[in-house]
Amino acid sequence: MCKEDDNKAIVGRWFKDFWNTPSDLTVVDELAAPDVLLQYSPDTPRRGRDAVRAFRTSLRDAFPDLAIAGASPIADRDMVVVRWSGIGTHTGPAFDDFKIGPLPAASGRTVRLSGTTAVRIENGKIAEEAIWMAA
Amino acid sequence: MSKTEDNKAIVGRWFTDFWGTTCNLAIVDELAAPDMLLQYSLHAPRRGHDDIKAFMIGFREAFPDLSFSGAADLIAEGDYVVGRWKGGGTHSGPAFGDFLIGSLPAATGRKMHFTGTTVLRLQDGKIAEEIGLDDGVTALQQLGLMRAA
Repeated sequence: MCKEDDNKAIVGRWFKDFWNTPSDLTVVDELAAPDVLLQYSPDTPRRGRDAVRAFRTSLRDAFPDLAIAGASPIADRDMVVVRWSGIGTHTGPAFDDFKIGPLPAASGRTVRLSGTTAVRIENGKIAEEAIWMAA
Repeated sequence: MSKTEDNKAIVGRWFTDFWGTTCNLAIVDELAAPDMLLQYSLHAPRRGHDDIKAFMIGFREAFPDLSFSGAADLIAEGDYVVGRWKGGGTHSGPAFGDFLIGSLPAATGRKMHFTGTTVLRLQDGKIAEEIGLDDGVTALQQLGLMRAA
Protein backbone atom coordinates (compact mmCIF):
# COMPACT_ATOMS: atom_id res chain seq x y z
CA MET A 1 0.00 0.00 0.00
CA CYS A 2 1.16 3.52 -0.59
CA LYS A 3 1.39 6.01 2.22
CA GLU A 4 -1.90 7.68 1.28
CA ASP A 5 -3.74 4.35 1.55
CA ASP A 6 -2.14 3.67 4.94
CA ASN A 7 -3.17 7.12 6.11
CA LYS A 8 -6.74 6.63 4.86
CA ALA A 9 -6.93 3.38 6.80
CA ILE A 10 -5.79 5.16 9.98
CA VAL A 11 -8.37 7.90 9.53
CA GLY A 12 -11.08 5.36 8.70
CA ARG A 13 -10.40 3.62 12.00
CA TRP A 14 -10.32 6.97 13.79
CA PHE A 15 -13.77 7.84 12.49
CA LYS A 16 -15.14 4.44 13.46
CA ASP A 17 -13.51 4.06 16.86
CA PHE A 18 -13.02 7.64 18.08
CA TRP A 19 -15.94 9.49 16.54
CA ASN A 20 -18.48 6.65 16.59
CA THR A 21 -17.47 4.42 19.52
CA PRO A 22 -16.78 6.81 22.39
CA SER A 23 -17.45 4.10 25.00
CA ASP A 24 -13.91 2.83 24.44
CA LEU A 25 -11.33 5.50 23.77
CA THR A 26 -8.24 3.26 23.90
CA VAL A 27 -7.94 4.08 20.20
CA VAL A 28 -6.50 7.44 21.25
CA ASP A 29 -3.39 5.75 22.66
CA GLU A 30 -3.13 3.54 19.62
CA LEU A 31 -3.62 6.06 16.80
CA ALA A 32 -2.95 9.55 18.16
CA ALA A 33 0.50 11.01 18.71
CA PRO A 34 1.25 11.89 22.37
CA ASP A 35 1.02 15.62 21.59
CA VAL A 36 -1.94 15.31 19.18
CA LEU A 37 -3.69 18.62 18.47
CA LEU A 38 -7.46 18.64 18.05
CA GLN A 39 -8.40 21.97 16.53
CA TYR A 40 -12.15 21.87 16.81
CA SER A 41 -12.50 25.55 17.44
CA PRO A 42 -9.62 27.97 16.84
CA ASP A 43 -10.15 29.38 20.32
CA THR A 44 -10.04 26.14 22.27
CA PRO A 45 -7.48 23.76 20.83
CA ARG A 46 -7.08 20.44 22.65
CA ARG A 47 -3.50 19.26 22.98
CA GLY A 48 -2.49 15.76 24.04
CA ARG A 49 -4.24 12.42 24.41
CA ASP A 50 -5.91 13.22 27.74
CA ALA A 51 -7.39 16.49 26.46
CA VAL A 52 -8.65 14.79 23.30
CA ARG A 53 -10.26 11.98 25.33
CA ALA A 54 -11.85 14.50 27.69
CA PHE A 55 -13.32 16.43 24.76
CA ARG A 56 -14.81 13.29 23.21
CA THR A 57 -16.18 12.21 26.60
CA SER A 58 -17.93 15.55 27.19
CA LEU A 59 -19.39 15.37 23.71
CA ARG A 60 -20.58 11.80 24.38
CA ASP A 61 -22.13 12.81 27.69
CA ALA A 62 -24.07 15.60 25.99
CA PHE A 63 -24.99 13.66 22.81
CA PRO A 64 -24.88 9.94 23.69
CA ASP A 65 -26.32 8.83 20.34
CA LEU A 66 -24.15 11.06 18.15
CA ALA A 67 -23.34 9.25 14.89
CA ILE A 68 -20.89 10.62 12.35
CA ALA A 69 -20.68 9.43 8.75
CA GLY A 70 -17.70 10.31 6.58
CA ALA A 71 -17.61 10.58 2.78
CA SER A 72 -14.73 9.21 0.72
CA PRO A 73 -11.47 10.66 2.02
CA ILE A 74 -9.14 12.86 -0.02
CA ALA A 75 -5.54 11.91 0.75
CA ASP A 76 -2.33 13.59 -0.36
CA ARG A 77 1.07 13.00 1.26
CA ASP A 78 0.61 13.37 5.03
CA MET A 79 -2.91 14.84 4.88
CA VAL A 80 -6.32 13.15 4.81
CA VAL A 81 -9.46 15.26 4.37
CA VAL A 82 -12.91 13.89 5.19
CA ARG A 83 -16.24 15.58 4.66
CA TRP A 84 -18.74 14.28 7.20
CA SER A 85 -22.21 14.68 8.55
CA GLY A 86 -23.60 13.74 11.91
CA ILE A 87 -26.77 13.58 13.90
CA GLY A 88 -27.32 13.37 17.63
CA THR A 89 -29.80 14.09 20.36
CA HIS A 90 -28.86 16.39 23.19
CA THR A 91 -30.05 14.40 26.22
CA GLY A 92 -27.08 14.99 28.51
CA PRO A 93 -25.67 17.88 30.55
CA ALA A 94 -25.50 21.46 29.35
CA PHE A 95 -23.06 21.79 26.47
CA ASP A 96 -21.21 25.07 26.05
CA ASP A 97 -18.69 24.10 23.44
CA PHE A 98 -20.58 25.35 20.42
CA LYS A 99 -19.18 28.77 19.68
CA ILE A 100 -22.57 29.97 18.56
CA GLY A 101 -24.01 29.54 22.05
CA PRO A 102 -24.56 27.06 24.88
CA LEU A 103 -27.28 24.41 25.04
CA PRO A 104 -29.01 24.02 28.43
CA ALA A 105 -29.06 20.53 29.99
CA ALA A 106 -31.08 17.83 28.22
CA SER A 107 -32.62 20.18 25.70
CA GLY A 108 -33.86 17.10 23.81
CA ARG A 109 -32.89 18.83 20.60
CA THR A 110 -31.80 16.84 17.58
CA VAL A 111 -28.64 18.40 16.24
CA ARG A 112 -27.56 17.87 12.65
CA LEU A 113 -23.96 18.75 12.01
CA SER A 114 -21.77 18.66 8.97
CA GLY A 115 -18.23 19.65 8.36
CA THR A 116 -14.82 19.05 6.91
CA THR A 117 -11.94 17.54 8.82
CA ALA A 118 -8.29 17.70 7.86
CA VAL A 119 -6.07 15.13 9.56
CA ARG A 120 -2.28 15.24 9.46
CA ILE A 121 -0.47 11.93 9.97
CA GLU A 122 3.10 11.83 11.18
CA ASN A 123 5.00 8.56 11.52
CA GLY A 124 1.78 6.56 11.36
CA LYS A 125 0.06 8.56 14.13
CA ILE A 126 -2.51 11.33 14.06
CA ALA A 127 -0.61 14.54 14.79
CA GLU A 128 -3.39 17.03 14.14
CA GLU A 129 -7.10 17.02 13.40
CA ALA A 130 -8.61 20.33 12.32
CA ILE A 131 -12.39 20.52 12.09
CA TRP A 132 -14.56 23.09 10.35
CA MET A 133 -18.27 22.88 10.92
CA ALA A 134 -20.98 24.16 8.64
CA ALA A 135 -22.81 27.07 10.23
CA MET B 1 2.25 16.57 -14.75
CA SER B 2 -0.32 14.30 -13.18
CA LYS B 3 -3.97 15.29 -13.09
CA THR B 4 -3.80 16.14 -9.41
CA GLU B 5 -0.81 18.41 -10.06
CA ASP B 6 -2.70 20.06 -12.93
CA ASN B 7 -5.71 20.52 -10.66
CA LYS B 8 -3.57 22.06 -7.93
CA ALA B 9 -2.12 24.51 -10.43
CA ILE B 10 -5.63 25.53 -11.51
CA VAL B 11 -6.78 26.03 -7.92
CA GLY B 12 -3.58 27.93 -7.10
CA ARG B 13 -4.32 30.38 -9.92
CA TRP B 14 -7.97 30.61 -8.82
CA PHE B 15 -7.03 31.42 -5.23
CA THR B 16 -4.58 34.10 -6.39
CA ASP B 17 -6.73 35.77 -9.03
CA PHE B 18 -10.20 35.39 -7.52
CA TRP B 19 -9.50 35.48 -3.77
CA GLY B 20 -6.09 37.18 -3.55
CA THR B 21 -5.01 40.75 -2.91
CA THR B 22 -5.96 41.85 -6.41
CA CYS B 23 -8.86 40.32 -8.26
CA ASN B 24 -8.91 39.55 -11.96
CA LEU B 25 -12.44 38.46 -12.80
CA ALA B 26 -11.39 37.23 -16.26
CA ILE B 27 -10.23 34.18 -14.29
CA VAL B 28 -13.91 33.22 -13.87
CA ASP B 29 -14.36 32.82 -17.64
CA GLU B 30 -11.08 31.00 -17.88
CA LEU B 31 -11.24 28.53 -14.99
CA ALA B 32 -14.86 28.19 -13.82
CA ALA B 33 -17.23 25.67 -15.40
CA PRO B 34 -20.28 27.45 -16.87
CA ASP B 35 -22.54 26.19 -14.08
CA MET B 36 -19.98 26.32 -11.29
CA LEU B 37 -21.37 26.26 -7.75
CA LEU B 38 -19.76 28.59 -5.20
CA GLN B 39 -20.88 27.98 -1.65
CA TYR B 40 -19.56 29.45 1.62
CA SER B 41 -21.11 29.29 5.07
CA LEU B 42 -21.61 33.03 5.44
CA HIS B 43 -23.23 33.63 2.05
CA ALA B 44 -26.05 32.28 -0.08
CA PRO B 45 -24.81 29.83 -2.74
CA ARG B 46 -23.97 31.27 -6.17
CA ARG B 47 -24.07 29.47 -9.50
CA GLY B 48 -22.66 30.31 -12.93
CA HIS B 49 -20.15 32.88 -14.19
CA ASP B 50 -22.34 35.98 -13.90
CA ASP B 51 -23.59 35.15 -10.42
CA ILE B 52 -20.08 34.35 -9.18
CA LYS B 53 -18.64 37.56 -10.63
CA ALA B 54 -21.47 39.59 -9.10
CA PHE B 55 -20.73 38.01 -5.73
CA MET B 56 -17.06 38.98 -5.83
CA ILE B 57 -17.72 42.48 -7.18
CA GLY B 58 -20.12 43.15 -4.31
CA PHE B 59 -17.81 41.61 -1.73
CA ARG B 60 -14.84 43.74 -2.83
CA GLU B 61 -16.87 46.94 -3.10
CA ALA B 62 -17.79 46.52 0.56
CA PHE B 63 -14.33 45.22 1.60
CA PRO B 64 -11.86 46.87 -0.83
CA ASP B 65 -8.79 45.38 0.88
CA LEU B 66 -10.30 41.87 0.85
CA SER B 67 -7.59 39.25 0.58
CA PHE B 68 -7.36 35.55 1.28
CA SER B 69 -4.31 33.35 0.93
CA GLY B 70 -3.29 29.76 1.45
CA ALA B 71 -2.46 28.65 4.97
CA ALA B 72 -1.05 25.25 4.00
CA ASP B 73 -0.11 23.21 0.94
CA LEU B 74 -2.99 22.21 -1.32
CA ILE B 75 -4.26 18.64 -0.89
CA ALA B 76 -5.45 16.79 -3.99
CA GLU B 77 -6.78 13.38 -4.95
CA GLY B 78 -8.89 12.38 -7.93
CA ASP B 79 -11.12 15.28 -8.95
CA TYR B 80 -10.76 17.09 -5.62
CA VAL B 81 -8.47 19.80 -4.34
CA VAL B 82 -8.62 21.02 -0.75
CA GLY B 83 -7.23 24.37 0.34
CA ARG B 84 -6.79 25.73 3.85
CA TRP B 85 -6.79 29.51 3.90
CA LYS B 86 -6.78 32.64 6.00
CA GLY B 87 -7.68 36.23 5.29
CA GLY B 88 -10.30 38.90 5.55
CA GLY B 89 -10.70 42.61 5.01
CA THR B 90 -11.98 45.95 6.24
CA HIS B 91 -15.53 47.04 5.65
CA SER B 92 -14.90 50.55 4.29
CA GLY B 93 -17.30 50.42 1.34
CA PRO B 94 -21.07 50.59 0.89
CA ALA B 95 -23.65 48.82 2.99
CA PHE B 96 -23.29 45.06 2.65
CA GLY B 97 -26.25 42.72 2.74
CA ASP B 98 -24.78 39.49 1.44
CA PHE B 99 -24.18 37.83 4.80
CA LEU B 100 -27.03 35.42 5.49
CA ILE B 101 -27.23 36.52 9.10
CA GLY B 102 -27.64 40.27 8.62
CA SER B 103 -26.53 43.50 6.95
CA LEU B 104 -23.78 46.02 7.61
CA PRO B 105 -24.51 49.73 7.15
CA ALA B 106 -22.05 51.64 4.92
CA ALA B 107 -18.40 51.98 5.93
CA THR B 108 -18.46 50.53 9.42
CA GLY B 109 -14.66 50.34 9.38
CA ARG B 110 -14.92 46.94 11.02
CA LYS B 111 -12.32 44.32 10.21
CA MET B 112 -12.74 40.58 9.81
CA HIS B 113 -9.95 38.04 9.80
CA PHE B 114 -10.72 34.35 9.80
CA THR B 115 -9.71 30.93 8.52
CA GLY B 116 -11.34 28.07 6.68
CA THR B 117 -11.07 25.07 4.44
CA THR B 118 -12.46 24.76 0.94
CA VAL B 119 -13.07 21.64 -1.12
CA LEU B 120 -13.07 22.17 -4.89
CA ARG B 121 -14.19 19.62 -7.47
CA LEU B 122 -12.70 19.88 -10.95
CA GLN B 123 -14.03 18.50 -14.17
CA ASP B 124 -12.17 18.62 -17.48
CA GLY B 125 -9.77 21.25 -16.21
CA LYS B 126 -12.50 23.58 -14.91
CA ILE B 127 -13.76 24.25 -11.41
CA ALA B 128 -17.20 22.66 -11.11
CA GLU B 129 -17.76 23.23 -7.42
CA GLU B 130 -16.20 25.25 -4.60
CA ILE B 131 -17.61 24.51 -1.16
CA GLY B 132 -16.01 26.24 1.79
CA LEU B 133 -16.38 26.01 5.51
CA ASP B 134 -14.94 28.66 7.72
CA ASP B 135 -14.74 29.95 11.21
CA GLY B 136 -17.53 32.29 10.17
CA VAL B 137 -18.76 32.88 13.71
CA THR B 138 -15.45 34.64 14.37
CA ALA B 139 -15.95 36.91 11.35
CA LEU B 140 -19.53 37.69 12.32
CA GLN B 141 -18.49 38.54 15.88
CA GLN B 142 -15.69 40.78 14.60
CA LEU B 143 -18.19 42.58 12.36
CA GLY B 144 -20.69 42.98 15.17
CA LEU B 145 -23.28 40.85 13.39
CA MET B 146 -23.23 38.25 16.14
CA ARG B 147 -22.53 38.63 19.84
CA ALA B 148 -19.98 36.45 21.57
CA ALA B 149 -21.70 33.61 23.39
